[in-house]
Amino acid sequence: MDISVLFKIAGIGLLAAIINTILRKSDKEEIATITTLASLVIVLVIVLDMIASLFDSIKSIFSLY
Amino acid sequence: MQIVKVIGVGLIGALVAGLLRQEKSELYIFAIIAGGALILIVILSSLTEVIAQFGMLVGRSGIDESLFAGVLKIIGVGYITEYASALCNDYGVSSIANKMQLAGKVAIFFMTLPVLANLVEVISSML
Repeated sequence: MDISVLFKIAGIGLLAAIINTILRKSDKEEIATITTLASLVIVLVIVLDMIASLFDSIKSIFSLY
Repeated sequence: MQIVKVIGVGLIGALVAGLLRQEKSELYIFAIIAGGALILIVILSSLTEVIAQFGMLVGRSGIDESLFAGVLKIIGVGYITEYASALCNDYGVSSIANKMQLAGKVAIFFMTLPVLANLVEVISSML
């Protein structure tokens, strides 16, 4: 699970950047922003459940209820 | 303790973050978040071991158990606020980072009150 998350984020980021430039070159600005937003949401979903499980285990270790 | 694994994860995270920042995409902050979280996940197992051993030591030495739990809570809060404020500093919003540290200090202060009360009790019982 662990390292693949980083590579997923890198892949999505690079893909979004490339798609962004392509769309901007073919003067479709608004679709470019939408694709950036979509990539942001995808990466947020991936990172979110990892952070949630991490903070739950920290809370259980330090008994921080 | 897999220190080599931690270094590997950290380097890969730094690499990905640098790459994404160079590409001017906003996702480089997620690479930083993920890298930090992964390092934490790797060291979590040995962290629990250390805390368990420490708990046994404290138990044997006769110190009040709630004192150790309080100290542990303070360490936890301190660590989480430090993680978040360092993240905000990386992202450039240092004002939010300072606010988080202030909130962390206030939370820790509230957690030290019972420990202080305990200390005063012990001292007064000695005198």
